[in-house]
Amino acid sequence: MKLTDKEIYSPRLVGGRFNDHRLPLSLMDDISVLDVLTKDLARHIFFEENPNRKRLPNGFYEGVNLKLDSLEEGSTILKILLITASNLLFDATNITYFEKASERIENAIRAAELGEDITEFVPPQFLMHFNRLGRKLNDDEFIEFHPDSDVKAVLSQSSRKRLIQAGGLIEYKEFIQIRGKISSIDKYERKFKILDGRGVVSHGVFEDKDHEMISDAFLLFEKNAKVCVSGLARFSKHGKLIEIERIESVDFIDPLDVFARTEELSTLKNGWMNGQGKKLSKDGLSWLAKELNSKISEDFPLPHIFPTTDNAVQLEWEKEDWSIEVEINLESKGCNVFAYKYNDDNAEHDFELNLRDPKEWEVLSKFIKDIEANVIE
Amino acid sequence: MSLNSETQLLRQIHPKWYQEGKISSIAFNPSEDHDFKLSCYNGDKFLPKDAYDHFIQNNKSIGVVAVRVSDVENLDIKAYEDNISFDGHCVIDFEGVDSTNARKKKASQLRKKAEQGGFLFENNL
Repeated sequence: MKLTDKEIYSPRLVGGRFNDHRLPLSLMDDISVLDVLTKDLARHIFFEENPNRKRLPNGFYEGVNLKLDSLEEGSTILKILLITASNLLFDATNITYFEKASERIENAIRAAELGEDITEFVPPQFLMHFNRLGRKLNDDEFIEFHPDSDVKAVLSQSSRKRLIQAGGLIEYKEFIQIRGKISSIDKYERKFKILDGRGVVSHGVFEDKDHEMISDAFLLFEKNAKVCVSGLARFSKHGKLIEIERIESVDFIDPLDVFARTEELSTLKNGWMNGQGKKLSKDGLSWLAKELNSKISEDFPLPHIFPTTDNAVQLEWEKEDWSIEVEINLESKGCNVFAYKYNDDNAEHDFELNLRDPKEWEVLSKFIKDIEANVIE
Repeated sequence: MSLNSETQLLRQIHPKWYQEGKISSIAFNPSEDHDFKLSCYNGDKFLPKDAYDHFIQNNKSIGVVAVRVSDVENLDIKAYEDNISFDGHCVIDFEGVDSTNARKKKASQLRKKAEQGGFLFENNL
C-alpha cells in the first residue's frame, strides 16, 4: 500500500504564547477539529457536486488522515498533511473533495474576518465546529491560515464568534480566566459564584477536585481573598457569560495581583473621586498589567497600584526605609520615578522614564533591585 | 476654638486610595485645583465616626485616619481651621511648597504618620 501526502493546512499561530515557536499542548484539542470539519465538509461537497448520488462511494474516508507533520522553523507554523493510502477501495479523485473542503474552510474564516457571507463557503450546520476550533486562543492571539499568501484568513476570537453566530448557534464556548472572590457556594448543586473586580458576578459549576479550593476561598471572602478560575465557559450569542461549565484550574492569587487590580480600576468613571478624577484608559491599564506581570520577580515585587485623578496610576513600594513612587501616564507611557529615604533628608532620587521602551523598564527594575540591596544611597 | 499641636486632623480616605492595608500618598497630596490645600475635620470637634457620617452624605470614604497638627508643622507646612463649608473644617496648607516632588515627599510623610495611627473609623462593608 502506497502512502501519498499533500500539505493541506499550514496555520501560523501568532501571539504571546507562540513567540518561542512552540505549540502549547492545550491547543492540540482545538487544532484537531480541523480533521472532523474537513471530512464532514468533504462529504457535503461530494453530494453537492453529485446530486444524484444517495450515498458516498465505498472507501471515501478509507485511508484518509490529516496529520501534523512538523512545526516549521522560524515561527509557530503547523504543517498539516492530508495523507492518503492507495488501496483497492480508495479512488484518488476523492482527494479533491478534501482539498476543496480545506479551501472553503479557509474562505469562510476570511469571510468572517471581512464581515462577508460565511455560509457561501461553509453551510451553517458545519459551523458548530468553530465552538472548539480556536476556543483556547487568548485575546492577543490568532491563527493565520495561508500565512505566506497576500490574502490571509485570520481566526481570532472575534472572527470565530462570527462563524459561530452564522451557524445559528445561540451559545458559544470559550476558555476564560476570571479573577475575583468566591461570593457563594452551593455544595449540593456543586455551583459557585465569583465576584470580579468590575463588580460582575459569574456563575459556575465545580467538580470534586476543586471543592476544597472553592470552599476555602468562599470562607475567606471577608478577608478579600481572590482566586483565578480558568476554564471553559458558555456565552450567549451576545457575549454574555452564562456559566463556567468546566474548571480547568482554580488557584489563590496574590492580594496585589496586577490583573485583578487593573480590572478593578478600569471601572472608574469620570468624576470618580468625589466629582473629580478622569476615568482611566482601559487599553493603558491592560498594557500596564501585561508589562508588570512579565516583570514581577523577587527583585521586582508587586506594587500597590493607585489611580491619580489625571489618567495616570501611581505604583508604590516601601522597601526598608525607602518610599518609591512611580507615576505612569497611561496614554504617553511616560513616568516619573520619585524615591526618598524616610530618615535621611539627603537620600532622594527623581528621574523620568519612557516605558514604551523595554530598556527603560530595565532601568526601573534595576533601580528597585538596587534599593532593596541597599546599593543606592 | 483654635487648633493646638495635639489636635488630630481627621482625613477621609477614598476607597480607591486604599489597597491591601496601604494608604496611597496621593490621599495626602493636594491638587492645584484645591490651591494645594487638604481638607480635614477638626478632631476636637468631630469624633471619627461623626466626621465619616458627615462626609459620606455627598462623598465616598473607606474610613478616617488622622495626623496631629504637630506632625504637619514638623514638615514646615501649616494647618488651620477655616470653617469653610462647615464648622470644624480644617486645611493642611501646602502653600510655599513649590516643587511637585517636595509636595510628594511631604504627602508621603503625612501618609506614613496617619498609617501608623491606623484607621480611627473604618467602613467594613
